[in-house]
Amino acid sequence: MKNRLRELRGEQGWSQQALADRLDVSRQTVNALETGKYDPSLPLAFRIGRLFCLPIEAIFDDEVED
Amino acid sequence: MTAQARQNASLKRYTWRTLALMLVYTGLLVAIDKTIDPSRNGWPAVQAWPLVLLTCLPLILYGWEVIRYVRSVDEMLARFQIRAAAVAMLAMLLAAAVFGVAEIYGVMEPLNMTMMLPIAAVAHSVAAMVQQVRAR
Repeated sequence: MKNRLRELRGEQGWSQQALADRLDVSRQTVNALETGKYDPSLPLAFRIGRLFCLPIEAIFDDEVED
Repeated sequence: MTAQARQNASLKRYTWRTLALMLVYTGLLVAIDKTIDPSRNGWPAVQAWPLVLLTCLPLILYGWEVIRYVRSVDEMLARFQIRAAAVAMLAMLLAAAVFGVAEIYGVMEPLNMTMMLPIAAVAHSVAAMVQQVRAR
């Protein structure tokens, strides 16, 4: 699943560790999310949405690429 | 406390408790085998059951430690650990099957079942490590 996490984190000027601390997850998890290697659970997706004040669908894109 | 710090503390606790429990487990097995030796000393099977339960105690405590550890880490790492545990379980089942068949056909001398624990531990560690490397 593609997402805009790296872009949104960059806009805030946060490091992966800073974002991880805010989301209460490990830095590895943030990295795996940004590279699309891991899809978050629904509670984590909501936490991310709340943190950036955006709806989940504005951050995550579940459309399959052709 | 940040998630990272909490996870590091959990990992430290999990590591030393696992080591201690495995030492206790091995110690109990050796003590029972070398000193009491119930089968050769003619113990009825029913009397040996408390020893079986005593031997299982460190393993049950280890299981509890695994649950505590998985609960304390974040969701991605917990998923890794659960996958690694499934791989370890499969390795242990395969080892049990190989040991059992080898023993039935007399290909090998009866192997000590404690061999299965290190096999499972190695399989678990390798599976967890591979997933962590892939995530990075």
